[in-house]
Amino acid sequence: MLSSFFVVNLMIPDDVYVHKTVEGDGSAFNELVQRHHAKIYGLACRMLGNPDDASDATQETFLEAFKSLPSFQFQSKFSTWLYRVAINTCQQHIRKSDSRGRTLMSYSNCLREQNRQYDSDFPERMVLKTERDGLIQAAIDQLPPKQRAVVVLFYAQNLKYREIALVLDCSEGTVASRLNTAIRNLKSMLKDL
Amino acid sequence: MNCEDFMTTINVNRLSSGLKLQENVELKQHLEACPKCQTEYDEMLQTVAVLESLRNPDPPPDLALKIQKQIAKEHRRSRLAFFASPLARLLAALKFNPHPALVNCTAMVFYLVLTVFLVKLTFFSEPDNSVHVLSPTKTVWRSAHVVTTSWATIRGIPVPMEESEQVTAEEMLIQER
Ligand SMILES: [Zn+2]
Repeated sequence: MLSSFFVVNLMIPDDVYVHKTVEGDGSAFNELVQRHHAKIYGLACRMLGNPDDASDATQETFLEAFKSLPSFQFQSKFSTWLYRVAINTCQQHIRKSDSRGRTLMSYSNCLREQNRQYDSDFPERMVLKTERDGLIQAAIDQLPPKQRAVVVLFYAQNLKYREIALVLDCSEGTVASRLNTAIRNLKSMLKDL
Repeated sequence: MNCEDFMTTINVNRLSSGLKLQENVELKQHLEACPKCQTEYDEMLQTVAVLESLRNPDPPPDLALKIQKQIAKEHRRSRLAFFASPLARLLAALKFNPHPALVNCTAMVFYLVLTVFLVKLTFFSEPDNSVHVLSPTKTVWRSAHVVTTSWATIRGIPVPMEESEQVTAEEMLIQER
């Protein structure tokens, strides 16, 4: 019974909940939060390199999305639109944040905490994995925000060029060339991994 | 094919989508002949492989709930009329959260009553006859009555006084003396 409810629930497209929210049903938005918060948090973590900022940015993203939902025109998927709100929020954070110094440190701490749960039997593997991820993140942090957005959307969020172009409001060609530039920039930093 | 051609042709899309160079003879030939491009190509492949291993960190377990609470708050706030927010703040301070519509209605009734009261006080506060009912010796009430019309006096509106009343006032003064 419960599982059939979940199946039915998952089959309902986001747009239905968007309509309900716009019509004044505040609880309909809860389902959208439930569905999308993990990937928006993941995006914010990779964009900002810091779990605290990522939590804040995720909350701000959803609040902003809720407020400006009436302006959503259904011309793209809700998730694409939400990604766009998230990228804008992250870029505002990057602009006003001077937290780059504590970035790597706190990010490694966060990963160490997470990996402790998975790899408690293999402490060596845990340290390696954490350090490796921390180094990748540190390299991503060095990229200019536009290149960073493309790398994160393509590799961490697994979006297609077409979707990234929609999120960033640019052409697919721009996405491809930014990604190429980003890879060349990252190449020297990630050489030893 | 020169190095520049090679570099523009091996883009990330080609590397990431698993379309390696095997299917393109020209690219393959250049790669085998040019150690510089070979190194570049290997490094790019390696970088792409590293990035493809990226996984997303899991969100804190309470994040969704936090967001949902914040949204509920915002939803409530957005349904409050602008004039009802002081009342809502007061109620929230008293740990009392009724439906926004109820708060709006209550605020509206409150403002309506206040307006009626003020309008009545300003424009319809005529001298009443209650003083006649009172004992004429209680001149205190008489002076209190004058105070209530002071607003009208300040605004320069002549306060009408009946002749009979004037007489009684004089009589009262005489009585007092
Ligand atoms: Zn070459």
